[in-house]
Amino acid sequence: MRETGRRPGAASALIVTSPHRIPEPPPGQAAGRHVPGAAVGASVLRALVEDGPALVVCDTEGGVVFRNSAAETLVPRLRDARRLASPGVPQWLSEAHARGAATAEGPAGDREVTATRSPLPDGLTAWRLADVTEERTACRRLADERGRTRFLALASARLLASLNRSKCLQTTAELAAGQLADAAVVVAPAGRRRMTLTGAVAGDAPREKSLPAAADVEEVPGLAEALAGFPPVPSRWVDPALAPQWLLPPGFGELGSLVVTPLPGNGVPAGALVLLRRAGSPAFTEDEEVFARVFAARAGAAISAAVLYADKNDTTEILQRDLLPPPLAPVEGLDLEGAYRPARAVERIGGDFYDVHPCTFGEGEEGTFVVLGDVCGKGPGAAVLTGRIRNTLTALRQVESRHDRLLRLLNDTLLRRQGADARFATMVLADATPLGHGRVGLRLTSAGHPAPLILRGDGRVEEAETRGTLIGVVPSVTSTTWETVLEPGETCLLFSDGVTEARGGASGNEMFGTQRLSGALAECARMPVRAVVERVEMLTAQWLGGNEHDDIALLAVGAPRGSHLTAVDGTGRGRYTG
Amino acid sequence: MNGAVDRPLDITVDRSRPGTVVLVLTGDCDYETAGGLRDAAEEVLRLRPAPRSLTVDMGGVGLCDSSGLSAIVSVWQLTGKAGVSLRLIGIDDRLMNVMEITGLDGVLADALVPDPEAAGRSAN
Repeated sequence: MRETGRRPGAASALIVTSPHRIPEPPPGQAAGRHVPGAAVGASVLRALVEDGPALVVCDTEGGVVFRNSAAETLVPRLRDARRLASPGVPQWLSEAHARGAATAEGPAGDREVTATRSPLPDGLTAWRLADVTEERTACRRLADERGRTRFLALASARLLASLNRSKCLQTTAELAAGQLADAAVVVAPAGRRRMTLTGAVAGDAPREKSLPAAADVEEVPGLAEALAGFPPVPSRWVDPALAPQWLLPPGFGELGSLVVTPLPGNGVPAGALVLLRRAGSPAFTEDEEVFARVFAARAGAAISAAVLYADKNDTTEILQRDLLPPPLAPVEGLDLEGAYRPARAVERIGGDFYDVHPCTFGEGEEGTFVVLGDVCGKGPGAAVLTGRIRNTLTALRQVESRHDRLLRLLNDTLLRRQGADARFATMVLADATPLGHGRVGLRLTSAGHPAPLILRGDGRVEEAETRGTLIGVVPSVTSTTWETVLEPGETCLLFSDGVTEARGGASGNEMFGTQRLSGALAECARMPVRAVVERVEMLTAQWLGGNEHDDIALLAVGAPRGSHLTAVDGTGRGRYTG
Repeated sequence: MNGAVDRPLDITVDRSRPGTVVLVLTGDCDYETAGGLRDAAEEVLRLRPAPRSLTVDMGGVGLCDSSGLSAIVSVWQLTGKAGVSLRLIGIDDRLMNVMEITGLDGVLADALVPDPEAAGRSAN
């Protein structure tokens, strides 16, 4: 017995209360001298019991009649206890014994213990005690870990659901406040100088505010480092007394502890996450701090993705703004109608454009300058060149009204641009001058662009006889200008090859072509320009039948029907005095 | 897209004739593929000894949009700078029509002259 070596004096723990005495072994049957085949003697039983799992034997009254040394190790007070219901012996055990429960469990000191009842002869009961502290801790860890994994999965799903920066910041604050702290504040740069604070108190909707002008991130220890991003700063304990008031969400109460964690971004840090707990809440454990960092890594990635997306979107919007044609203001003595259908797919957005400028031609002759063009290629490169061409043309138009010279100047300008490549533009220039009596004089010049079509009053469709070199490729360009007069009700249609090259039809792959466009126009004789444009647009859309298409631009210049009735004596503005 | 199937652009390099490299194009020459033509031409111009002439055979080209035209202009510019003569053969009526509209037929006039050697070869 003494060889079990549990602890000094443990052997004496085989307390035997008469009459339940396990007899001492007779001499000669000591351990190691057992005769094979003989019945197991009392000394062997003693050894088994003493060496086995924790065991307490009680009588019906709750009196302790026996406990082995393992039981004493687990519950030291059992050693001297005569009854289960003694100070220092878990109350839950004596209660379980009293009510005849089969199993029970509860704390014993700093251990967690389970007890299982086994009935014994003579009205005795054995309680087998087991120390399950490690097992329970492991289970709890696993459950915690599962909970965190679930939380991270949920967090990722929610964070990735939006590419909106504000929404991402709010979600981060809301999730952190709900799971990691009593409240959370996300500090994130917004532009070069501004900072936003997105704060959420657990259970409340998050709120975003700007960092007050008088506030300085340096006031929160560790925050400036977290925001600087590199070298990565570990979250660190901060004396809550040092935290400035602006950091706390309104109505938060007294601050107990806080953790500052960097939100790692895409090269540039996305911001910092500040976790707040109220006075009275438990302080952050090391484990929680590590977990906060894991969460922050995911949140940071989502936030920086949103910021990148916003930047890219801004850029695209700015570029597209330059591509969009202007709204057409009404012009006296002239009908104008445009349609612009940009390519649906962003990567197919190209450089179709049109512009309309009121201007003076030569000797005080007033009219309208119209240009419709197409910059080859797609994407940002085409968009930038489109903007450049529109600006250059607007400026050059002030000093040069002759189309051929204008195109030469534009070509020279484009050829001189930095990093000139083979990107070119084609366009049609048109000068429209009201001639009085509802007639409109037209000067048309194509620079490598499909020639405009003129719809006459009788339904004939003419192709403008103008031709010229495309712009931006060769040092010298030539062009021929064609002049005509639109009678009241007649229309001239400028279009981009997005119309004629629209692929669709019965085979799904045939081009709409100039022939079909002419045919469609012929059916529009004497229609108002708006109806003409809408009709061509509709036919093109039908032809496409849902196919992808490039940009489509249409611009109709018409001589107003019937307007000559008012123009005959229209001397009010002295327009037709020539 | 339903029906309007985009085909990739295959470029085969034929160096069987001394001093001349022929790029044989098959497929669509558009926004997505035109870069390949430019790259192929650049590669040819890096060859040493440099070829005297480069022929681009467009006979197998289905669609050629403005990006395709731009690539052709690029090739024309690159060969011009390198002093290599350029020939464009196998241009169909539609593409020729586009070249006329854009005025490229004038710009590329030298390259569009039928190549007697190529003509002779295809006659064989």
